Amino acid sequence: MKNINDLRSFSLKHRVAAPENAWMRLESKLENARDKRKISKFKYVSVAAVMFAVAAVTALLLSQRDLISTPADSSEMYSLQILESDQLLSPGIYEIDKLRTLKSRYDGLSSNTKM
Amino acid sequence: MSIQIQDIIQACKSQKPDGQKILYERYKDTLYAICTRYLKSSADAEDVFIESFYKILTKIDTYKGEGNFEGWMRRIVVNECLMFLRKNTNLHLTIAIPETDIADEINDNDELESFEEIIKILDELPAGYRTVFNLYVFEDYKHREIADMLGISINTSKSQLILAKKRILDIIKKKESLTFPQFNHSINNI
Repeated sequence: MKNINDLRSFSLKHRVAAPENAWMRLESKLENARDKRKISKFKYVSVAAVMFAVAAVTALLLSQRDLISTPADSSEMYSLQILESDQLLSPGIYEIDKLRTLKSRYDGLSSNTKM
Repeated sequence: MSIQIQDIIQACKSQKPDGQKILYERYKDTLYAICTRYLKSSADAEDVFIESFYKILTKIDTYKGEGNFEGWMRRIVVNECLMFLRKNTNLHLTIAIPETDIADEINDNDELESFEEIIKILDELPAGYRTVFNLYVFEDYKHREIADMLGISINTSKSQLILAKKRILDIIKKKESLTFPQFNHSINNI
């Protein structure tokens, strides 16, 4: 007959043979966990690579846009526009001199008819 | 020459398969014995044992070297057994004996049968009795700790232990009466 304290010390020495296939099951579980860890590492690396690529492409596009619209270019475009508008105001459309001549002739014609 | 446990722990922390295998070989029978004490079915005991060892090997980083390493592993195994029981078994942990009766009934110096005999009898006990008996007698948990672990009152934990002891003694008496019927008959007549 034993009391509780004796039973406690016995329980520390208590051993039951573990099933033989237990290690194989445990090992495969550990390998699965290792594979998962590897996959998750690969995922992190690939996500980081994609983000880097997107950032690089964006930076490249932005730098190209900046090249197109530099201040020197815009001033050139402006001056071209001004030039074009000057051409529009040229006598080609309005021909003021011709109008004036026509008016004076008309005036002369009307004074002739009054006489 | 046997390898020092600190070296094995270090190898396991580095996730070295050789170190894991050595640790397993060293403690497999001790930890499997715990599972068989809590769980009747050997298939369940094996599943919980594997899950426990998996947790030990993957969470070994959390062991900071404070306290006994075997004790740390035992706690993980016990917790896994309790988790399994909570999920899959109705522990029926509801019976509470009045406090006045408990004081008279509990005595750590109570004489019980031999260890092997009790281990055999444990299988015949309901899951609730077996669990509390295991935690109190073999794992040395206090009733307050058992109550916290199982989500029951301290009183219920004490009651379960008393009822478990009574049931064990009943089973022993029954077995003795079957083995020595004449002896028992004579005892009853005294």
